[in-house]
Amino acid sequence: MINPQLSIVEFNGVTKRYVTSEAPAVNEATFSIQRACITALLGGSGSGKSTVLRLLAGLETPEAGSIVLAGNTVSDGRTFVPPEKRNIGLVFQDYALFPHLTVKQNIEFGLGKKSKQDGQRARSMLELVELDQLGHRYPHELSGGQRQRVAIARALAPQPDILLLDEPFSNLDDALKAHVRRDLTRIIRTAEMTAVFVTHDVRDVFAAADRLIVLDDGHVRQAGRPDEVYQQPANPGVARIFGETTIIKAQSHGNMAHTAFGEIDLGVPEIPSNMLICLRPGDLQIAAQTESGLQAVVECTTFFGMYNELLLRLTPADSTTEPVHLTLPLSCDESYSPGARLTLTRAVRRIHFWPAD
Amino acid sequence: MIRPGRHARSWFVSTALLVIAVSMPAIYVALHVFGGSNPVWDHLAATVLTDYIVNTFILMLGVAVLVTPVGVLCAWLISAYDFPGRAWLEWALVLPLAMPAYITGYAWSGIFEYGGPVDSLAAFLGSGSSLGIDIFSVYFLAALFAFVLYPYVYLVARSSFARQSAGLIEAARLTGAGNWEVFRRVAMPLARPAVAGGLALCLMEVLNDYGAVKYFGVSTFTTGIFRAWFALGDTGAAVRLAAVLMLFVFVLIVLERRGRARTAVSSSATMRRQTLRGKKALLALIFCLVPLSLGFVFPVVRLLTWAWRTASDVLDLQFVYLVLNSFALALGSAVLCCAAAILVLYTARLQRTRLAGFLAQSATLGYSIPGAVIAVGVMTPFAAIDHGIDGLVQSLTGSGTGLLLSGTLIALLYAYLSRYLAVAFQPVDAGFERTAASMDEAARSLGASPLRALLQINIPMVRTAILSAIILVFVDVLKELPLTLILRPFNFETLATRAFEFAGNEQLAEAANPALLIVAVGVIPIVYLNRLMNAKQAR
Amino acid sequence: MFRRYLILSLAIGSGLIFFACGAEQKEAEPMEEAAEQTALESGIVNVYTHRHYPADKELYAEFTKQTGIEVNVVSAGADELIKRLETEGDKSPADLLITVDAGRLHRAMALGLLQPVSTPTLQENVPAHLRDKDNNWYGLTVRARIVAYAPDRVDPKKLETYSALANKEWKGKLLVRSSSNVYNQSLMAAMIEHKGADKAAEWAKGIVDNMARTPAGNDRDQIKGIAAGLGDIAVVNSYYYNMMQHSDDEAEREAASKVEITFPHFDGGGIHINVSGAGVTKSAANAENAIKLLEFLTSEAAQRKFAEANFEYALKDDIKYDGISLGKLGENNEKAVMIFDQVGWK
Repeated sequence: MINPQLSIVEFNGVTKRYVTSEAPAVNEATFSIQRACITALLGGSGSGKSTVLRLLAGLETPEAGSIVLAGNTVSDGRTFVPPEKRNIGLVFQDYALFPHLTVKQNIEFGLGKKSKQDGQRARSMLELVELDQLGHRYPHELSGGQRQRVAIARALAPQPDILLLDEPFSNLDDALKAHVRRDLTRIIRTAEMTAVFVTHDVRDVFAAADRLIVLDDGHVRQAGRPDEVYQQPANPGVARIFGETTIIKAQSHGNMAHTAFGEIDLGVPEIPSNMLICLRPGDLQIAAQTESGLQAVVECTTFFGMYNELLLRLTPADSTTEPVHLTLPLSCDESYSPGARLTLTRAVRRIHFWPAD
Repeated sequence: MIRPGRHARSWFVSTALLVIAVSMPAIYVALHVFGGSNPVWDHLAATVLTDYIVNTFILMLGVAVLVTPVGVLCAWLISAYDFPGRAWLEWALVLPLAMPAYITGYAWSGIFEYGGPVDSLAAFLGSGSSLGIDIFSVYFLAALFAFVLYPYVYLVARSSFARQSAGLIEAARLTGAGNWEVFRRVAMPLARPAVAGGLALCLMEVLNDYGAVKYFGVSTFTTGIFRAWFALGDTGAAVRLAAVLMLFVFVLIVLERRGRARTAVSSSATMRRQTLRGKKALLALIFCLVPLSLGFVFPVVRLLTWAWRTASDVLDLQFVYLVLNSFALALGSAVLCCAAAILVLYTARLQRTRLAGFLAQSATLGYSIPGAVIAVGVMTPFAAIDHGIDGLVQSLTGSGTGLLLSGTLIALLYAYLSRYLAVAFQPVDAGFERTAASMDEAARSLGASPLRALLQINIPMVRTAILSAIILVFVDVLKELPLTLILRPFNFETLATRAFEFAGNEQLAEAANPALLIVAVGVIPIVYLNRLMNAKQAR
Repeated sequence: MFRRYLILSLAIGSGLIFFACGAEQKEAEPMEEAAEQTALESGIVNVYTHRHYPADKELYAEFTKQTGIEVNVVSAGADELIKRLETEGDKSPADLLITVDAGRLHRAMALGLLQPVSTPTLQENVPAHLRDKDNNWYGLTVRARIVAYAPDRVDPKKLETYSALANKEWKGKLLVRSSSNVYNQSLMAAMIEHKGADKAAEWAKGIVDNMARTPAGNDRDQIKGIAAGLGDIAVVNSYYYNMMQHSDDEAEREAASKVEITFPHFDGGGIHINVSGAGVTKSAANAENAIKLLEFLTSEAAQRKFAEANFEYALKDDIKYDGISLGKLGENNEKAVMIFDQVGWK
């Protein structure tokens, strides 16, 4: 699925600094985006993910580096193509629907005179986003989800080379979110569109993206398929973006990893002598006391409806190491009382680790 | 945040040219500040300057002390309570805005003059002889200004109260605070920046007034400028005074802008009004009626009695021409100012650089200079251009062109632009600020050029702000006197110049006719403006 | 919604149309070249005037009727008009400058804005002391600055001279308008001419000490002030008193009836007079027409009109004036203003 030949966007060493702050918002970013894929830009606030989107759209000028869009250099030291000449579709976080125009007029805003006259394009866009009956309404007469669909239809109408979406799911409540994600992927796939969206929520990434670019502190940290990135995060920073992560030091002891909390099998035949182990909530399971594993004490069990969550404290063998906490999902009929001692072993095929010096 | 492409540069260039042109009179004034040693200045400094400063200060202080409680409390009563008459008071309280201050001055002197209504009333009540009330004092003048200018504060305070969150007010009430407490501790502090802005506008009007201070014999900075410039024939000293005045006003402008920057309270729910009954309702009604009567009703009634007596001698068909002329001139310059304000502010929006911001600020300098000084600042460059063209054509063709621009409507419109651009600026700027940047960006990303984005997105979105700007400039130009008087073409008359001519002849009764017409033409858009602002709040 | 915008755009549209028409019509006029051409054919004269009495307008109309020469007018304060003339320089469209005070004419002359003109008619119509000695300007009407008083409180015998106004007995009883007013400036200029600057300053100080209130209002307000009992005596131009006597406002007539006027002199030297007058501008393209208008305004018929409508004195009225050259009013003007500032005459 990933083929460098098909890249539609190339960032080469792009740096952008805002007047208001010392540190660059985007720092020498180099990456490419594949055609006909949905790519997610994932990062926390201030990671520079929105700035990347704005740079691509031409809403910001980079101070260094070049950007190539659909084979044309749109931004480097000499050229700067203004946003209206880039043929991109942009969906804003606040949707930015023109309040004084109807839904249909909004969608037609980016169309040439001809396609505006026959109205065909606007109609098919309204059909695509399943709002055929609402073309005459004004934005304030629509629900949040409907507004977003109008914004998408408006961005898609002029047949852009690429569709950019800024935090498309952040304004929606959880119940609506899953539905909208499915809708959005359907619309984008139907339109055979290349899309890039910005998000801070990993669930969006897994639900909607084919490819993922992780940004942190202005740097591109990792790019790849979302499951690959999840399973093999390039560094602890990337791992933490996906949620709760416990990182512990370990030394090799044969093919076992030896930690302050006990030994654990990582599922890998050969391991380096020093490493950092990356533990996610699902990575471990409770083993029989006799087996070797990580030693933990139960702090509490929390009922979450579909499952119980166990908060554990890993207990070090020596007193010089600080204890660490991690959580473990349990089925909802399992529970342990506080203070119970448990041994934890590997639950997944392999546990990720980074070699360390 | 969209940075210059090639065409954004053309926006910048045209804005820069416009700003330079518009601020030329101000620059002209500023350049004169650095004259050599100056006997007239020394004379003024030694004799009357203290007097000017003291008077100006008393006036500003007096106006500030009166205008703030009057404007704010009226706005609070209208916003927080329901009482008989509230609905029409809401717009009626804006009416004094249509009254030129000097006309109100004449009217009040007419009310207190010998044989005037107050005297007659006293005589009727049996005091026998004349009361001999002398209204020509700086204190009375300050009060007069206050009751003419309070609508500026009233308007901003009212819209600020309207924007305040109902939740906030209700939260305050739930803590057991009485209405007065809510006003004092919650509503008022939130409205304070906006009120400071409105107050700054009032004070600028006071600083620039010439007609009323002259009639009342109160020498202010503006009087001094005129004295130095005309009576003593010393441009340098006059301009130095004007520069000091500019400084005053500049401080006020900065205050105003900071005031606006901090009013970012917004909410969808507006305050629920409490119904007042009985004595309290009556008190509220009376409180609102006082400024309205003093600033509008009484003076207008006095003008009406004069006009009634003289109308048959004065009013003729020519007045139709005067009304149309004044109306067209005011509307034309209002549209022009507004278009210029949009151009300058939109460029600043496109660029968001310090330079663009600075340009936008410079465009408003003219507001800080008294009209008559602007007039000279306009005449001088225009005459220079005209002489240049004339000389050139003369040398090429043998016969000159004479003065092409001086003494034409173009020069007059240019002067209005210089002076009133700032007035159009305020609402348009505020309107643009309320428009999310993503609107422009969305339009641009859909392939719209900056011009198309302006015409199809920005302008429709801030249309109420633009209309307010047009109306405010319209009313100001309608009342304007010194610029019109000195820059107008031959035989060109407006209601204001006609009123001036009669007043100059000490024919106040006759002057009442054009004065009333100014008020009448001004009232309509003011009432409309009020409805606009209400509609905006309702949305 | 739509209707509102329709109405609004209609209003704006029609306004703009009016405006455009107005602009077109007006712009044509000051086009100097065109004006010059038409000036010779149909005849126009362009006037900058500080006199904007209805009577003046009627006289212009009469002039046009008699001669076919059209009179174009810009009216504003004399100071501003002089400034405009000065800036426009040799290309100014103005042909005739009319002011309400000889001092301002003198200033215009000193700035080189006027040109000497002379015709037998003008020489005949305007007595020598009411025009510039080099014929740069001519008086049109004569005004006397005199004293109004309350007959029930004041003995006019005590008001025979201007000097007497500074006597201590009037302390708190004198009403006079602001020193910004040109009539006061000219009175002071005359005082300087008669007594010298030091004595004049002393006199002005005496006046300031006697003031019943800070100077304010116009001349009529001073007369009304006497009627209202705010003061006992006032310095005013005579015609305002006459106008009030003949006002159609009953209150004004009544106020005037409580006040009388007396004509003081400069210690035997006659009363202080001033003229409203006119001079042909140096840049005048229609100088001949301007002279014609000047002749017309100084003619007997026009003079009678001024006297009847405005109660100003005609040029040939026999007034026992103080004998100084009116040009001195201009020469001493700046000094007068400075003295006002020094003694605190607001």
